[in-house]
Amino acid sequence: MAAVASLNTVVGTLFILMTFLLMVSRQIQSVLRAFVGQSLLLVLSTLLLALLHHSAQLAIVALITVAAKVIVIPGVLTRTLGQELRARREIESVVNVPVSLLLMLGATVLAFFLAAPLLGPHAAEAQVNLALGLAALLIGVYTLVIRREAVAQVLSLMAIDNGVFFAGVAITTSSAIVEAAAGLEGVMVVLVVAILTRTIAQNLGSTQVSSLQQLGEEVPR
Amino acid sequence: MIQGLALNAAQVAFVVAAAPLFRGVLNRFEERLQGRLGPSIWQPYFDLIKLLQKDEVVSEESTWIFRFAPFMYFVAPLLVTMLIPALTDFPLFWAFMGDMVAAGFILGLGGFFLALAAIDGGNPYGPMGTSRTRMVSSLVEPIFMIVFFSVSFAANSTIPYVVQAHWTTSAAALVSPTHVLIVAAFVMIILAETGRIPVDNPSGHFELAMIDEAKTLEFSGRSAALVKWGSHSKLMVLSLVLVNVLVTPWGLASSPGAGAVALGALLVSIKLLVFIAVVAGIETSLAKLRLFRIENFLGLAFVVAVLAMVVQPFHL
Repeated sequence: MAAVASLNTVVGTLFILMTFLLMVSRQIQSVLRAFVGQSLLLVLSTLLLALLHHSAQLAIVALITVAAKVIVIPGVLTRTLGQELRARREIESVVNVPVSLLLMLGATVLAFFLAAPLLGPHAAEAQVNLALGLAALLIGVYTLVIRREAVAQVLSLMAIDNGVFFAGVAITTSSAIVEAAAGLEGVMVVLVVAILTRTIAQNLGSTQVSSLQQLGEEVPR
Repeated sequence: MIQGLALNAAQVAFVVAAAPLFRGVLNRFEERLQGRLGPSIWQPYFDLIKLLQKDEVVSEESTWIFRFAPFMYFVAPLLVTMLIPALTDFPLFWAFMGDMVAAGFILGLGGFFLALAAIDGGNPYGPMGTSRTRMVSSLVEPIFMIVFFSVSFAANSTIPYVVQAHWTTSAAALVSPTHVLIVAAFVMIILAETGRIPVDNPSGHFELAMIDEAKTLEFSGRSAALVKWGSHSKLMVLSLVLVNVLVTPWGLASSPGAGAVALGALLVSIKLLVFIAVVAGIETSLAKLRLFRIENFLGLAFVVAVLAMVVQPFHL
């Protein structure tokens, strides 16, 4: 069991690294890849915790996550926004990469300090999941703020979701219904936002949010 | 004591003799991966022999530093070899003279003299390469330090032999997140410090894009051979630290007999070969970064190293 817990920590650190990668990737395609990787690591951690707690519900949660975040959401995005996803331009962001990395490194350390007193010394594996999930949430929010690109913002929204669930699966073992609802909701959110973004892309020729700053009487064609 | 000195000499001889081969095999691997034939694996030796036979031209404007630096650069990795477990897993004569930080300092000293010599030579590309190398090094330095901190937290020491013994005795510690992250950060540091692809293109011949090579343009003849050989040895020594201390601490000679040491050398060569395959894979799949993107790459390495330290208490 100690080996499983240790492996879970490895998965957790890879999860947070993937979140960092999602934050610093410069092309939409690699953001999507980082998101899929992050979701897969979330699934792996959920399965390990299911093994650790002998919980069938957690295994179901893992299945739902695979279906929603690894298959459906990337599929929806590729189908509605294929052109934009493959765009080879660089994503604009407000803050440059080294500063973002340092800030979010600070946020990660902060998350460990915040999570430590919440759970006490007994649940070490839950503690690392809670801290890293919290860190992923903070990084997701930060990425959402600094990115000037609609698709990347959708993906960081989903990364926040992943962070919440990464923390959630460690705290309770009976969250299958919640995750089912959230997984479905995530898919719906992505579908709606993807269609909106597609409309923006068709009208403006790109999904860069920075070009939405001016108000205009009529939409430029 | 005689035996200790003999083993030390064997370690240094192994590095000196095999370093050009190591570079040659790496180049050949990469060329093959990219669908080209590539030069022979013995090509670095031919280059060195050719350079050693040539006359040396030294600028009249340069000082003694220019002539002295190649020797310093050549010797620095060999001094580090005496501090690390290159072939044997029991501490040798000089093992407790210095730890990993000292090894970093010695390598840094060689780099410092080469940088001085590059400025001394008066070639306009020299100072440019020097300032770029210093930029990369100053970003690598904190990562090195944090990797050492994480290692010393895990193994209670920064002496390479003790660290190696720690990882061999506890196989479970090898899959701990700290260890995985330390290895990842160290690979990134090696790529940056030895001028490999995401940071610098070792086979590029365009002076304006050079980082590491630009410093050596002014050297000729014997000095050029020593500098080339020194950089081969540096790559090999850093790889030895990685494979022998961090990733796979097994397979080293544990008794001082000649047979055991020869077997150790064979196993170490196999481990280095596997590492060469990994590096060739990384270099083939990545493109060289633009100069001001290097800080992003090293920033990520810094994140990896700090995470290694942060998650330390959570996998007991």
